Amino acid sequence: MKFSLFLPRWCQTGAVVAVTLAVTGWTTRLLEQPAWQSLQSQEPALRLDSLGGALGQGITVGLLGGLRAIVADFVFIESFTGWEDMDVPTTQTGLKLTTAIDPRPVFFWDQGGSMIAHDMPYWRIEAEGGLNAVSPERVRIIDGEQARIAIDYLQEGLKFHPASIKLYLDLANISQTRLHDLAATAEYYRRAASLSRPSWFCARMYARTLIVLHHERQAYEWLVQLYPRLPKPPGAPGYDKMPKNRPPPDDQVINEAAADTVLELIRELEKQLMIPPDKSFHP
Amino acid sequence: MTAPLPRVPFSFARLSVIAGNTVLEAVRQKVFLFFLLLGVVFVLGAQSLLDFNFGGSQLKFIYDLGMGTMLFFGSTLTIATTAQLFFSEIENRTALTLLAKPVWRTEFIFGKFLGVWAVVGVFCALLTGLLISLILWHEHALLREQSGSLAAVAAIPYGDLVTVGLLQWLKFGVLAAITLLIASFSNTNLFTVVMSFVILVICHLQALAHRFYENSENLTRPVRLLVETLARIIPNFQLFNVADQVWAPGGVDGLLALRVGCYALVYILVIGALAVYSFRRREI
Repeated sequence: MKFSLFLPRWCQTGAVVAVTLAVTGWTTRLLEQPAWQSLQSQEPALRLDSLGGALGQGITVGLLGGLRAIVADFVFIESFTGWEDMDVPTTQTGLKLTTAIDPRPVFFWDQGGSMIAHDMPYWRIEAEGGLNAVSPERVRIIDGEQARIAIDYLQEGLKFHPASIKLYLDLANISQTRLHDLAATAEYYRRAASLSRPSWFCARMYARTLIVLHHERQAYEWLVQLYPRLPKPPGAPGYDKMPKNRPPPDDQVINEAAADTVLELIRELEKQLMIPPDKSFHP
Repeated sequence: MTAPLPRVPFSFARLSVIAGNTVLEAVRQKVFLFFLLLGVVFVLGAQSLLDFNFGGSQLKFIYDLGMGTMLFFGSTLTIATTAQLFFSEIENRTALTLLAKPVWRTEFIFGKFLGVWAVVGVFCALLTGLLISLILWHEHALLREQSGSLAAVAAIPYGDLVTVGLLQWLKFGVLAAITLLIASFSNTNLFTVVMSFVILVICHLQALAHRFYENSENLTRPVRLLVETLARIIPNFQLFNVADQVWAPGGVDGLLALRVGCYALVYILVIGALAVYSFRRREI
């Protein structure tokens, strides 16, 4: 008995199409899987969880058409409308949507983190009657809440930009000024100073934060191992021991490294820690 | 009683005549010129949108916008042209006349496909060329601003831009084949266009949805099997999104581009064959 007797013609065609495509799909896995894995590892994919309902709000076309950059720019501008109106939910949602659409520019994470941590607490305080009407305890709670949201946001940004000194600086700044958590501040500075292209400023700030935390010995050891690595101008102590095969650093790098300031700090710590001259640091 | 027509062998010559006519018809119709003009205006207009760029470099912004324009208008052009050219043959009864002669339905379908693909190829080539010229011009302007310091402007891998344009053309080929498959059993132009757009969206989202379901733990075995099967039935259009790799340190991976190219060609052949199968069972 023929197959066609049981099924209408359109059903047969549909079945043949579905089965053929399924077989093709399984067969082309050999081509698709390695290519797809390679693409996923190199490119930040659209994050479905963050996009949520936005997919139904007219941006789908933009996302599918590869217009991520321009759509994200416009969503960022849109979130600025919320910023002008001091509207916390609109701004916060807009910022998260912007980075969900296009997480590639550090600018979005940097600006967003600052807005959430530094601007939004004032908006919330203003909405509750202003600084005169809100108790210091309440101000501290609001500051803490916003800072934690900003830290989560920036930590998410670090997943896409693990070598961004700017994001580490933002995290350290928020931990210090908003949460007053110096241990966390020091940790962010340390991580920025340990990158393959380290920030000398963060390296110095790590030592200074350790000193504020009364960890002078740890700060001293850190600076002593830091100094030889710093770019220095000709004639500075330790210049002769710098690797000769590298091109001489330019003035901007030398200023940022501030080797003389680091050496002064080492000498101050030696006095504080009462390190005898024969055991002091000799660059 | 008339004797049945003798069975003629498959002919590439007849196929190329149908393809050539399709190209001529497509160029005569306003759809191609309209979308080409829109694409050119958008790519050239990227310069005036530079004020809205917050994230990346100027060149990357222009490139992103240009590629987005090519993908959006290219997809629309592919679907609209394929459906319009196919149904104009059916509605004007020229298909009936043509197929009454010793012309294979395979020749008809693949002729239509090749004609549309050539038109879309011209569209992709023109926009890629325009985009490259625009980036080149901006690069020189930036170099002049930076007093010729090459380090100030990242090296642009122009070869990769061509590869990306080529991969988009292949993706439009798969899309044209899908549109022909739908047109082969559909009765109206509108249904074909709408269904093709729906499938285009599904093809783009299937990989993301698949990954989403793959990561969720509370799926039953039958549901997981269903999701896996659906993911296999629908081609993965996200594979063609290699545009971001152009700016990555290593550029576009040649092996990846080759795999994606082969993937597209396999789908073009299979979906094209299915369109022929479906069209052969259709009463015109």
